[in-house]
Amino acid sequence: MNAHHDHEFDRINAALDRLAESERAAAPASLESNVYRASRAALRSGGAPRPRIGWGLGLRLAAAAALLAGTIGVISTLNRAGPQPAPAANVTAAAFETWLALDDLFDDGFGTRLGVVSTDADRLSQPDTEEWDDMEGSL
Amino acid sequence: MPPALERTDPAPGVAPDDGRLADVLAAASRGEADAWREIVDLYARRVFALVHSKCRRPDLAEEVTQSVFVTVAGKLSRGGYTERGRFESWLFRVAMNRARDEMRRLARQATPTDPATVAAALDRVSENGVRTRDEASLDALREAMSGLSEPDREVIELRHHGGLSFKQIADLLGEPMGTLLARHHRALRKLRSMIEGVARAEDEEKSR
Repeated sequence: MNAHHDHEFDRINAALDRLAESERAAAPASLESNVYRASRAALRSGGAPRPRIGWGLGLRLAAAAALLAGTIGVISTLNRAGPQPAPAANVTAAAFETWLALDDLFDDGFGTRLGVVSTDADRLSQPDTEEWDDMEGSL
Repeated sequence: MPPALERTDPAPGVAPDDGRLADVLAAASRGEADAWREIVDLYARRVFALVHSKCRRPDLAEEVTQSVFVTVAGKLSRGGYTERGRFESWLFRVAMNRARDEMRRLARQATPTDPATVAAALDRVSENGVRTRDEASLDALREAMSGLSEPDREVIELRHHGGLSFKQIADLLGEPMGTLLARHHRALRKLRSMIEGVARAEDEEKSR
């Protein structure tokens, strides 16, 4: 049974095999069952974690979607209501509200980006408003 | 569930068919309990024998065997087993490492064995007062093994207790096959000379 083809070690090889057999026999009869019981939980729990959407994140996403839908609805209504003073400013302001609401929901990481967006938006809305005032004055 | 693996009762060098073993491993890694049970049935006793050979304590050997399989189950199901086609080498590497750690923890050193110790093992009488010649010679062999260097002993244990082929042992230890065969040969020669030395001493004792 050994890969060595010379026979000089046959007896010692056979003795080692008997020794190994006696080591295996030293195990309790229930060894396999015990090992199985101890390890099967690891097999179940060790599975690759699947991405899971928890209730907290799910609720926040739903709230964000509802806010976004509401904002779009308001904007649409305003647009349908006829000419508005500085519609761009209104749209921007509504967008701010949405972003701010989102910021409350996702309090991590959004703050900085919102700050940049709101600054940009302020810059955008300012000339529109002034232009409108100028036009009103001239009328 | 793949077809059942034939239980290769731990004859060294006889490994289950690689393809079927791979199927069973894949099923086990998907969490199939029956497949995992087969793996345990196939290897637990061999791992136990390897560990028991080192620690000589069945309770500790069982504990270590369980922890080896817990580790392997976890790695299998998390995709941590990446050595395709080398499951046995991988399993026994985990077992060897765990056994070594446990031995270190217990600060149990291999006791250098001289012929007198081996002779004492031969004379030892079992609890019921009856000791077969075979039992005595196994004890003597066990004692002689503890006189081997750690690398030599590992090869013997992996080969005979773990039932691995030389190729698998070479994979496991990361050594060339030639080196491994030479080491096995050297270990056998040393064991034989220790056992024969004891037998000669006994004969001389009797002839006086």
